[in-house]
Parts: sequence; structure tokens; C-alpha cells
Amino acid sequence: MVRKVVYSIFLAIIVLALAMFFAAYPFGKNKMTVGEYYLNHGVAQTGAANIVTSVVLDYRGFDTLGEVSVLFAAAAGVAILFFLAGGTKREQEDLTKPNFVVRVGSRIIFPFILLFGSYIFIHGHLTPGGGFQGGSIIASGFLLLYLSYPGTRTNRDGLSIIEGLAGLTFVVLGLIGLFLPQYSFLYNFLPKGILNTIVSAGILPIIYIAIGFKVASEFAGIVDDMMCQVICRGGGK
Amino acid sequence: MVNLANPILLVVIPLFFTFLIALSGSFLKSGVKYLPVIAFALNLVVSLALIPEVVKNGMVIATTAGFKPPFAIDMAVDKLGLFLSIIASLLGFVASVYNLFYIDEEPQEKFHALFTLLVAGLTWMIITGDIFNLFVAFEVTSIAAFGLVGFHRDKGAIEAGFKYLVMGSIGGSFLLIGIIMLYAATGTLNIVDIAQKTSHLTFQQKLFPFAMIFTGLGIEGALFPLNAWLPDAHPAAPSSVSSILSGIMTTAAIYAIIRLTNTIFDFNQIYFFLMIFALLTLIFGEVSAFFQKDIKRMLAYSTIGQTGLFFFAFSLNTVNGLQGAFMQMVNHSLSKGMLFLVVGGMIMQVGSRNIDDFAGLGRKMKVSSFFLAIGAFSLMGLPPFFGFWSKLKIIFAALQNANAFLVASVVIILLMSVVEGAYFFKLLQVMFFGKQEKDVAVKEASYGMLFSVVVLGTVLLIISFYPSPVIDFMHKAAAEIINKNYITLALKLGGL
Amino acid sequence: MIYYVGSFLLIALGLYAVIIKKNLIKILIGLDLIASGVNLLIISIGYVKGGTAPIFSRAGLKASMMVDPIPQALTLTAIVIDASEMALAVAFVVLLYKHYGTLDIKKIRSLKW
Repeated sequence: MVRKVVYSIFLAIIVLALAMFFAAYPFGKNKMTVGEYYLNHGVAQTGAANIVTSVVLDYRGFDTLGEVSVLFAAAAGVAILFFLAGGTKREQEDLTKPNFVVRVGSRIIFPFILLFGSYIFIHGHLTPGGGFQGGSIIASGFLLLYLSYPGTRTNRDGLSIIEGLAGLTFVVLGLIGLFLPQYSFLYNFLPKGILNTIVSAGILPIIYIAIGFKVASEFAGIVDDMMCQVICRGGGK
Repeated sequence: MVNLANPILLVVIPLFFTFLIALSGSFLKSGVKYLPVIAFALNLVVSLALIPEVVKNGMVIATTAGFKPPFAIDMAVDKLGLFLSIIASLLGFVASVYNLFYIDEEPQEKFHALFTLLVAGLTWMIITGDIFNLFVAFEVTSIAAFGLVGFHRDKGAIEAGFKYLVMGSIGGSFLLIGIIMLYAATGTLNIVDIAQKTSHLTFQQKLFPFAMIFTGLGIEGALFPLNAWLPDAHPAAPSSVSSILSGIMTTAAIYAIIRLTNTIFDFNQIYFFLMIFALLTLIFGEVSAFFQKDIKRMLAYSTIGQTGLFFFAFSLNTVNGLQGAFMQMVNHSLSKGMLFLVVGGMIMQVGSRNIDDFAGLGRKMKVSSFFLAIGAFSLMGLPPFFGFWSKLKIIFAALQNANAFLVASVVIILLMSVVEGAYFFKLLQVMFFGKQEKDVAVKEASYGMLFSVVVLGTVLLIISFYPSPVIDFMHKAAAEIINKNYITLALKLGGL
Repeated sequence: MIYYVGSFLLIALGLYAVIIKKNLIKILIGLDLIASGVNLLIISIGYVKGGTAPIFSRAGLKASMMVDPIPQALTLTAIVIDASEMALAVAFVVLLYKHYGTLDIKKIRSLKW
């Protein structure tokens, strides 16, 4: 009990410190300096209608490369932790078989989920959304399939290949910028196109499509590993 | 064709090879273990190619996306950053060669991919010039390390990994809160830009972001009392990963604290407070190491102690203090990295981590024991090794403008050096003069693992017998930090 | 204003859960609460009164009517990073349960001093 009181006081001090700091920067005040530059020049310099996309992929594209690596590291870490030596066999344990509506309904909905996710990451530079959001939606479609057909197999090697290829696309597109006279990584070298059409903003749609595939394959891999913990039998463990 | 002296290549090349490992894992199978070696060899070449540029101009700045900072992210490498990235590439190269012969359990491709990503993230933390990029690099390192600590999947590894994960996550969140506080105050995310805009903040307004960032980075940087995860996580990881974690990761986190404190938060009132933390870390680390029976746990506690020592030297805030701190960082990275690799080879032969089972190994594994002795002597600070020069510099710097508190801290440092000497000599005595009870067939470690140890040992011996180039370089780097040249050089070279 | 207060409360509740609670799953939920609190804080920093989303979807939208785009990009990155950490944390908890058979953190103390 004493522990709880002491820690609560400690937490109250932290909250008070935060509140004192942020009282000087009230909600709704315009604090932008760099942000204004992005809003004023974003369309002219990158060609994307969605300024958040041009910040994420063009101005601060290196952060996105880091984020993609974080996701890759997490998927690899989960694969290491859930590894069963000697190969696995999938057997459906005493899981209750889902009923008719779930099974048929999921097969009908799955292509639409894929379509919706692809729409979101292809139009990332025109509407809110982008690679991460679209990829997660596609992965949730895979999760739906796993829940309704617990014995589903996916080709893990294929997912690895898609993952690696998408990541390589991002890095190679960035490296091309080093060979051009502007000499900087991730320079947007394709033409900017007409605003508000799909083929605009240079390399940004291509990067978002690569990220969409990568995120979808990685999350599907994580879901597959976790599902395997329940229903797989390891050989010779 | 491509100008090799671009610091971005230090990060992009390992990332390229990581994704290549993911792509080719299914058809190259265990052939992927050669890819990290190529990646870090290229990294070493790039970091050596950066030396003439940094010596000529004082700093190298590389922009991304074709825009000038602060409207884009940039990488800014000065002398200290360059030296640390050379050490990171060297340790990464050596450890990846060691991995060729050390890792034989599945799953291999994921291990090598995560290992490459770990060292790439560490180098990223050292060279970046943007504060949110620092957070992203910190998270890349942390998450790669979580997966690698749990690689053996036994009870100890999983518990250590979970403890590390909880503390590392909270650290990352605190770091992010600190970064957002700075963004709310100044509206920009570039380190040099923030440093120029903080003049109108009050002391209190600078203290809260500093406390958050210090807590966040201190959890990874092994400062007391935030290091409860370290004595469990470093031993539980495979030995090559332990050598990277002890060798560069704590150093990179402390480097980030040094860089941010020096440019953005330059208030003098906190240095006394940092000194107390450093001394507590030193005492806790060395005393706990004395009582250990598990050799990797002993080395992990020794890491905590050494971190306290060079953090103390940094908090003296003089040129000599900083020079001593940087020299101690170099000494610790090379020695501790080498020690973990040597010990990994010995554990593989003996099959246990208990020091008593190491009796008599000095006569059977001659080369490994020789380099173990060299590493131990350099950490202890015995002449003629490099550790002697660095400790001497730190004590000299502490006694320069001495008051009672500084004299007392020098006494504590000397006392802790004696404790350190005690446990290392105990280890060496067991190894060279002990009697083996059971008859274990022990032979020398394989040539590949020995190659890594010999390379690191040779570098350590070279800088021990010809210390002048390194000492001069560190003196210039320390003077740069004291005069806040990072900001002036960045402004001159277009980093803003 | 309420957004700031809400994010501080979330962070405090999350920290309380991580430090005090003994069930592993509750500790995980605490980590997630801290992360959500920080993300809410980042987004609410960028708000400009009367502003709209920074997308030039039709002609006639001017840059002065929009909110700050940088915190939105930062939150995007932070959410993905937190999701990855949660995935790894869940994997660790599953394996801990397999090794120890319990979810009580007081019993998982095989690594001593």
C-alpha cells in the first residue's frame, strides 16, 4: 500500500511538470515555423496534394526508411521468438470450427478488403492514408481469413521475398539520388506531373506502393507466426 | 562515380544488405552469413574515406531529399562522431566475421538481418543531425536488440528480453515526450536550429525536456538507477551481440546525451547533479562486479562501472575532462568488445558461464587467454596500455580546479580501480593457475573467431604503444565540444 | 485543452499500470496506454484554431487555413513504432507463459542478484 502511495505521488509530480511546461503553449496557437514553409511550398516542390505525404516521404523521407526498418526488425524478432525447430505441421486442434456465415462471408469480403487497402496506398499522395494504413488493412484481411479458416497456410518464403524486394525498392530509389547532380539521398527525380492526378509527385506513389506491400507482408507474417503458436505441432522438439 | 565520403552511406549500405538478406534468405539458406561481412567491410571503407574531409573542414554534412536543413533531415559528422562511427564499423565487421563461426542454431537468416540492422541503427544514432531522426534510430537499435537478446529462447533469455523491453519502451516514450516539448517550444526539429532558438526559454522550461530526454537515453546508456535490465540482458544474448551491446550501444546513448546537452541544453547548474549520478553508477557497477560468479554478468557490471567513469569525466565540463572521457570511451569499446568475443569462444569450449569452470584454461587456450589478459589490463588502467593514459587524464582533469568534492571523487575513482583490479586478477588467477577438476577436452577456438579477437587486440596494442595520434585527435575533438564548434561549423557549411 | 489533460492522464495511468500491476497482460496494456498518451500529445500540439486538414484537394484552399503537417507525420511514425513494440512484447509474454506457466511477475524471478 505504501508503494502505491509513493509511486502515485511520483506520478503526480511528473504530470504536474508536464502541465506546467505545456501551459505556455496553449492548445490552438499557431506555433509553426518549418510547418508554414511546408504548407506554402509543398505543392510546388513535391507535386503531392497531401502535404502530410510530402512531409513523410519527401522532406522527412529518411524517417520513413527508419520506420520501415523498425517494422522489419519487429517481424524478424517475432519470427525468431516463435521459431519451432525441425519444421512445423499444421493441425487444427480442438478449435471450434467457425460457422457457415463466417466462413462464406469472409470469402466474399476478402477481395473487397484487398481492394480497399490497395486503393488507400495507391492514392496516398492525394487523400489521407498511405502505405502504412493500406498495408494494415490488407493484413487485417489476412487475419480474417486465419480466423475463419484456422488451417490456412501461407507461403512464408514468398512473403519474405516480397518484404525484401519492397525494402530494396525503397533503398535503391533513394540511392539513385546520389548519382544525380543534386547529390542527395532520396531526391525526387521523376517529373512532378499535374496536381491531383494519380501519376503525379514523382517517386512518392512508387515508394508508398512499396511500403504498402512491405507492411502487408510483414503483418501477415506476424499473424501467421502467432497463429502457428496455437495450432502447429513442431517436429522433433 | 559516387563520392564515397558521404556519411549517409554508413547507414544505407547496411540497410541495403539487410533487405537483401530478407530477399535471398529462402534460396541462399546459410549463405546469407557472408552478407553482413561485406556490408561492414564497405562501412569501414566509407568511414575511413571520411577522415580527410573531416580533418580538412571540421565537419561533413550530407543532406537528404535535395532540400537544405531545417526543411529536410541532414547528417552532421564532426570529429567525435567520426571516431565513434569508425569504432562502430570496426566492431561490426569483426563481430560479423565472428558470427560466421559462432552462430550455428536456427533461425539464421533472421539473426544476421537483425544483427546488421543493430549496427546500422547504432551508427545512425551517432551521425544524425535531427532530433526526431535520433528517436527513430534509437528505436531501430532497441527493437533489433530485443529480438537478438531473446535469440536463445531459454528461460533466462526470455526473462531478460522482457525486462529490457518494458524498460526500453518506457525510455523511448520519455524520449519522445522530451522531443515534443522541444518542438512545441521552438517549432523545428533540427538540432542546430533548436540550439539557436532556445535563448528565450527559462531555466525551468529547459529543465523539463532535459529531464525527459536524459531519462529516456539514460535507460539505454546504463546510468544508475535506470540500468536494472543490463545485468540480465547482456549475458543472455549471444556473445557477439553482447560485445556490440556493451561496446557501442551504451557509448552511443551517452554520446547522444553529450551532443544534446552541449548544443541545446547548455546550463551549468546540472553538471554537479550529473556527477553524482556518474559516481553512483561507478560504485554500483564495480562493487557488484566483484561478487559475480557468472563471467558475462561480471563483464556486464563492469560495463556499468566504466560508463559511470566516462560520464563523470564528461560532467567535469573542461577540455581535459572531455578528452579523458573520449579516450576512455575508445578504450572501453575496444577492450570490452574484445573481452566478450574471447569469453564467447571460451564458453563455447567449456560449456558453462561459471568462472570456476574456467580453471586452467590459460594453459590450454593460449592465444585467447593472452588477449583476455590484454583486454583486462587495458580496462584496469595498467601501464603501458591505453587505459592507463585515459584514466590518468581523467584524474588529472578532476584535480585541476580541485575542491573538496572533486578530491573525494578522485579517491572514489582510485578505490574503484582497485576493486576492478581485484576481480580481474581473481579471474586471471583462476584461469592461469587454477586446477581443472573434471577433464574437459578443450582446444583453442577456431581460426575465424580468433581472427576477430586478434584484429581488435592488435588495434588496442597499436594505440597503446603509439598513443599520440589518438590523444591529439581527442584533444581537438574535446576543444570543439567546449567551444560549441558543432553549431558554428554547421552554420558555415550549410547545415542550416 | 482537454486533449492535453487527456494525454497526461493516459500517460500517468499507463505508468501506474506498468509499475504497480503484477499481471503481465496488465503491464502490456500499461505500455500501450503510455504510447497512446504520447501520440495524442503529439497530435494536439499541431492544432491551429479553425484549421483544416493539410490537403489541397480542391482549388481555393489556402495554406493559411491549415493545421501543422509535421506532428501528423511524427505521429504516423510513432504509431507504427509502438505497434511493432507491442507485437514483440506479446511474443515475449506468450513465451514467458510457456516457460513459467504463470502470468504473475513476482514468480518470474529466476535471474537473481
